[in-house]
Amino acid sequence: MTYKERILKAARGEWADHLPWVPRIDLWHNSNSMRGTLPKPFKQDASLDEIADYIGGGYHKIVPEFLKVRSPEDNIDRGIGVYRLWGMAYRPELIGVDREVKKEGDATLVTYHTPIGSVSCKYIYTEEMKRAGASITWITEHVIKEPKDYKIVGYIFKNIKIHPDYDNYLEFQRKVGDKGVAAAFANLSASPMHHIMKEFLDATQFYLEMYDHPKEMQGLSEDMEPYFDQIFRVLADSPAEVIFSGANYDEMITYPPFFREHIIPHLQKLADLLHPKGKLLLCHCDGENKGLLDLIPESGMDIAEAVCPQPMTKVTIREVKKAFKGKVTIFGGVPSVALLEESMSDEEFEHFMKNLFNEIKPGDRFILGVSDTTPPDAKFERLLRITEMVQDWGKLPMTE
Amino acid sequence: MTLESIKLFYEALKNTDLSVIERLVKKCLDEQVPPIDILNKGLIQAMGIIGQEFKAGQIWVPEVLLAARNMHAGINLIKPHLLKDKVPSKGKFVIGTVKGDIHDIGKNLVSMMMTGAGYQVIDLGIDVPRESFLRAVADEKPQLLGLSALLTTTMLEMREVLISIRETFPDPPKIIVGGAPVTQKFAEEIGADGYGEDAIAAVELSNRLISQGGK
Repeated sequence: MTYKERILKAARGEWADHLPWVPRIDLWHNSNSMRGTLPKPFKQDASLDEIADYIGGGYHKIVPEFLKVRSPEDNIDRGIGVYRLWGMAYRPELIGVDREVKKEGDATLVTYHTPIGSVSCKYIYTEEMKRAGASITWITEHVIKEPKDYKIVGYIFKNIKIHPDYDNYLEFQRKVGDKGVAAAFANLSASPMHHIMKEFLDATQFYLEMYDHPKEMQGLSEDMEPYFDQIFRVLADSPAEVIFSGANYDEMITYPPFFREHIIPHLQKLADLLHPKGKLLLCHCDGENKGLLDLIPESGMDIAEAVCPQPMTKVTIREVKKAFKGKVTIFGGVPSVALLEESMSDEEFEHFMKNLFNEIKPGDRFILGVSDTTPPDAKFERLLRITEMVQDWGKLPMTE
Repeated sequence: MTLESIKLFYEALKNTDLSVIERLVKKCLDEQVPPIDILNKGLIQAMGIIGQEFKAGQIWVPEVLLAARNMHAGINLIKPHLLKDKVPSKGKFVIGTVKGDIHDIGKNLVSMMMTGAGYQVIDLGIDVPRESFLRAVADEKPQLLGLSALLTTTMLEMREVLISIRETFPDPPKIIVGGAPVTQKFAEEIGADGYGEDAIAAVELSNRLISQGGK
């Protein structure tokens, strides 16, 4: 079986021949390339895929490369969470909006002029972020600063036209080949309200705005529905097997009532469009999911990617498996701190991994990965050691 | 203060109308209730209940942040009286998210819970350089310093801050750490004085460290 076949089998709840092992190494690669610290035997310009081949797992092609742009247009609207990246299956077009862009050192300031007013946002990408391998810019000035901004942002989103861009996606899919699954990116947010939380306001401010300006917030959420609906429809008709919608679920940030009210209905809506066409829904669940475990199987999600167990969260893989009731495939399992010598000695790492493999048994609905990504200072040999473990113990169904 | 008045404070802290807590505190002041009682037996006790509800999963982060905002409004009203009466705070707590990390929700929760528990909190914000922590410790002379990080890439900066503080100050503050990638083991490894799994744990840990003698 190819890696792609293994991953898709696991994602569909079928038996693959071997446990799929798909480590995410983009941040590690960015950082070590930048610092000139890629380990031997790699040249300092070694590509991500070259290293993934050396490790011996599948390619992790889930999260888009937000910083590798073909032109500034690709990520210029990052401040409002809108992208036109290489490999995406749709292309958003802002209509009736004049965009003004200013560069201020490491910062990009974008102002959107609409017939009903203007809003602006700022995001940064510093040298330090580059060295740390940051895979996305940071918003330092959010687009909503006062109550009147809700309507203006609503105008922008009501007027976004989503065009299919399947050739762009197919190029991505061809490049990944049978080494992995090329997930088609929908949004980092699963729904309009989740988008408002993630992109338009500082996290703390978002919650207080729920009390201070609920009507404005609800109005904006309604204005954004057509944007999400268009994306969902275009992706459902796309050539992709797996659609990635929604990231960073966490019991504190996307607390259970919020998840139930503002995330599940949109995941279900997308899943209902995807499933009749044989497509799968993937979400990046990299936070503390203890309080959300019982809700995730209700959401229509097929793959919970970046699932992170103890010691970085409160849950064990055994608990996650039990809560998912065989309805959702776990993608993850190796917490990023397990790859750091500061956090685990070699002996502790071996013990941790043995225990993890025991919890994974018999290995159905499981894709082994790093949650959520390999850190820059990871001990590279541990990735190779996991490959050995998968070879030795990962034949499915796993027994002894 | 009676059980009834704690209930009033509890309800006021949960109210979306900020003026409710302001009216309650003003009424207490008008009735000559000692400001220290308004703080300790009213605001802090009520916030303590809210903190426990949060810990038990009965309420969620928006309600905690709302209560914390109301608490701040209440404290601001009694602060001049506390200063006049020379009432000492429970302790001074400096907190910040370390350099390279812009995540603030966890830090904000700790900050608010510590205020709610009666500490004087100096929040340095996010992406805080080592020098700023050093300056804050020199200027504020806190009993406690809290370091927060959400990323595996930035958690290592905690060690650097910790070393700098201990090398610079002969009588350094107790240093506590927290954040998603941080574990008890990592905290021990870098020599932190404690690890708080969440905001409530951070308060409990601080109380313990202060009762053991603070610095």
